[in-house]
Amino acid sequence: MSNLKLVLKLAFRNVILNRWKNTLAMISIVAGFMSVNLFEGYMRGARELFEESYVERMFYGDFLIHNRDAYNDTVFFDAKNYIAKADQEALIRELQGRRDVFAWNRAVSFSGMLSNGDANTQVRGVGFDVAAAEKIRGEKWGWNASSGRPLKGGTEAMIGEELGELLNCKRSEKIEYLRPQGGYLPAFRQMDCPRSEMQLNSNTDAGQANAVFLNVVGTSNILYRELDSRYVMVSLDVAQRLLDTEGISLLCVRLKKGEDKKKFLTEMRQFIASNNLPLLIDSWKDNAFGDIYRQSMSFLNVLRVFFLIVILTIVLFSILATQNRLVFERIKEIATLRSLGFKHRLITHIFLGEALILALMGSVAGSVLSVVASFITRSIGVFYRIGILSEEVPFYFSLSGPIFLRSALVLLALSLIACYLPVRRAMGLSISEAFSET
Amino acid sequence: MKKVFFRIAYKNIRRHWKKSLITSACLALGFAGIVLLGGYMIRMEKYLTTQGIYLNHVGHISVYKKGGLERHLIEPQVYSFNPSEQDTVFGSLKGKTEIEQIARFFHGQGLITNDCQTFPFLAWASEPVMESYLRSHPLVQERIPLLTKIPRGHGFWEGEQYSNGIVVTGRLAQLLDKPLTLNAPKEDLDAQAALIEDCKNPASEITIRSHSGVQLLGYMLEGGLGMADTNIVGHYSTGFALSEDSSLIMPLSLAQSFYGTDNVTSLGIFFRDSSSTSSFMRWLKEEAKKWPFEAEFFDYQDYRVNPFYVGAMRFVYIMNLFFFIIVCGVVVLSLFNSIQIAILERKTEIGTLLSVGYRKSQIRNLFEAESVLLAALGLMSGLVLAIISAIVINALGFEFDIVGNSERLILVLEINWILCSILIGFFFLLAYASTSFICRMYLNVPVMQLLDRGEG
Repeated sequence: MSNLKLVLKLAFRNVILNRWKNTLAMISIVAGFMSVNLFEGYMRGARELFEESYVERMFYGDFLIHNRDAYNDTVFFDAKNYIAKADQEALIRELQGRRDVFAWNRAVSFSGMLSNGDANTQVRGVGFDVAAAEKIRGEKWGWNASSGRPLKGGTEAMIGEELGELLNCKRSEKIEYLRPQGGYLPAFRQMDCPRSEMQLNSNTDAGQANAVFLNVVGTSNILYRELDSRYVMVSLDVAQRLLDTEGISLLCVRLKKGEDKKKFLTEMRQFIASNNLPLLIDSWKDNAFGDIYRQSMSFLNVLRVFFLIVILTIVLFSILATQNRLVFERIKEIATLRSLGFKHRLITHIFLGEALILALMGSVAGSVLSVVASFITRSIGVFYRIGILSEEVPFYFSLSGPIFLRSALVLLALSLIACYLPVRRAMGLSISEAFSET
Repeated sequence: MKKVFFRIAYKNIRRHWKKSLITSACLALGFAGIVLLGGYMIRMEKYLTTQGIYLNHVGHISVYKKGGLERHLIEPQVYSFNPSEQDTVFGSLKGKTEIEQIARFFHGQGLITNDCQTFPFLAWASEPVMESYLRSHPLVQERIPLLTKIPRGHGFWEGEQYSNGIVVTGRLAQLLDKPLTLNAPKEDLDAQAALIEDCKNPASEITIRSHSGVQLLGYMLEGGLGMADTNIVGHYSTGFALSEDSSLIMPLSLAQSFYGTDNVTSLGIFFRDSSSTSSFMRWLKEEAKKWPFEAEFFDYQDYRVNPFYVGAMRFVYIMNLFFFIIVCGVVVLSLFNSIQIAILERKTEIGTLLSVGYRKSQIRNLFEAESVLLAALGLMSGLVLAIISAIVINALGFEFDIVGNSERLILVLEINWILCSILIGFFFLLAYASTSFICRMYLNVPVMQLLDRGEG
């Protein structure tokens, strides 16, 4: 312990004594720290954006339960293989008895033609439990209408923003309805459609043509451009009436904050197996619904590996150059200590102690600068468009404690390696060689 | 800068070869990283432009009726070109040598049914000869051959016997429960004629699966419901995850008969060389003023007509810019670091030179020459590193996803010499400017202080 104290004391004094040159080493550490931090922060931001969009905004919750034979794709489910009424009831009884469940929502997918009398277009959509979906959307996305208002039930419908435009529904111009932290401002915004009553035609489960009349009460942005121009949201009752079924395509479950998701998944799978239910349960991330999320994260992960290899190698070289010079400038000092009987280990520890102090100081400075960079990007409000999304997304860094810690550990490791290599070389010289080294 | 400075700089680099090597390595790595990422960006740009122009029926320039791009699906009768309007456009474009092809496209929607289940579809229709041109174009075959493959059956452009059928996406075929395509083995033509009376009867599933026949339902342009019995002749991929469950392509003649019209939605102009696009667009807009109807023109880089390409490329540009800024920042700091060390190490020498009458600018030139030489060394090694890495990565044939694309693509990194030249120039400037900046900062210190052997 006393040795450690001595090492740190000596190391600290050396850092102060060689402050100019040490500052140079620290600059490299700061640059490396910020690079790692900001990229990790960007990735975390992208992940959060996805999670919020799927879990809350599109109210899929944390888990999706569906018929095991159902064919599902990125956004829609097979209308043929429903969860039967009896299975729904069994599931709901189970969910009602669990303490970790926050809310669940029954949903059914449909497709058909929407007509306002003047124009008609093909649509896809979903019918859902209106109150349950609002609960899952939470405070931030509870109000999901960019114009008009959210669904209340009955024969009301909400449509995608672009679909609204196609059907000549006029919105109040230039309303800044998105809050800086995401989510719509919960206020009614005027929307006028030439005819708010529209007819939705589809086929029932038995292949019979059917139609319902809908009253369009609002528009909502449906994330993906392909969907925004053809998406309709109605209550579960309306959708089931249109399809003439009691089945549902999906049961979405959201857990309470902090609950153990793995445990829930395991227990629900056990429940499904023990009751011989023809169902599957997945996180949306593992389902076809999460295809785009997985593609995005896999792309960013590849980029991250490439990025970190390049940046961290440059940073390592840069610290190595500085440390190399620092150590060899003090080689006579090392030789003196060795001739006075200091052990190799102790001298190495003193230098490593210096590297440690520099890495810590660099991490603190890097953290401050990362926070400033993050604050600036958030304040300026940089938005950019990703291929398939229907609206621009903010470019920001979501920094967090674990990210800071991880970046600090990476830089600490690099600093120690960059310091250890020249020290080891210096220790390899004999004392007389060290004294004669210029 | 005089030759002598470079000679001295060269000697200094040799004297401190380890430090010089490390500084050059930083530059080399940073440069190679940016060149490789640039290579990815350029390749991706090629994938997406080719996909957009040829396979998504956009063309280098798309011609729509004014307002037609947004409203052609809702009011197709208003926002489409009748035969006389088509002739006007073709007449204006006649004799233009830069044009390789002009294609007529119909974009429609409706419902497709297998007798029991109905799904919505979006259809692109074109003349078989034109679809064949689009899919066999040398650029398409070179850059995105996987997307042109017909995994099952045939394209309607592949022979007279298929020229009245439709090609649907694999997922739509799966939803329709239609694994068979026209003339595929095992097809039961008797079953094709069978009437399904009860869709809930398990036997009807077998009937549906046993033939390739489907019905199309949609609104005709002049009003009324249009219906067509047709066959699925093949399966294809749109390339986009979100449209894989509802897309089909069909011959223009079938679409026009189904929708009861001679009109077309848009005209796609395909050039021999994409670089003609902007100048031709300017000419076309002027020319269109003579037409008796209003038209709109969109080039393939327009977000409204090619949103996936524009959106995906913007995302890639942002990521590249982010990487570029960080790499430049780290490289500049490394250079600062290395030059600062060099100055601090040689401050006594600098003090001596100043005291015997050397001008500050001459000493600065010495360091600048050293940096330029180091940058040359680093950039050359970086270029070699980038070329070798690209060769290795290309040989390994990694597959990768473009977010939102339904098919994986083979990763090919392309070293672009124009980009390399710009980057080399930029990095030289960066090395020169950072050295100049640091030297100016340190050379303002009084000579006495430089000759002082104490720390800092």
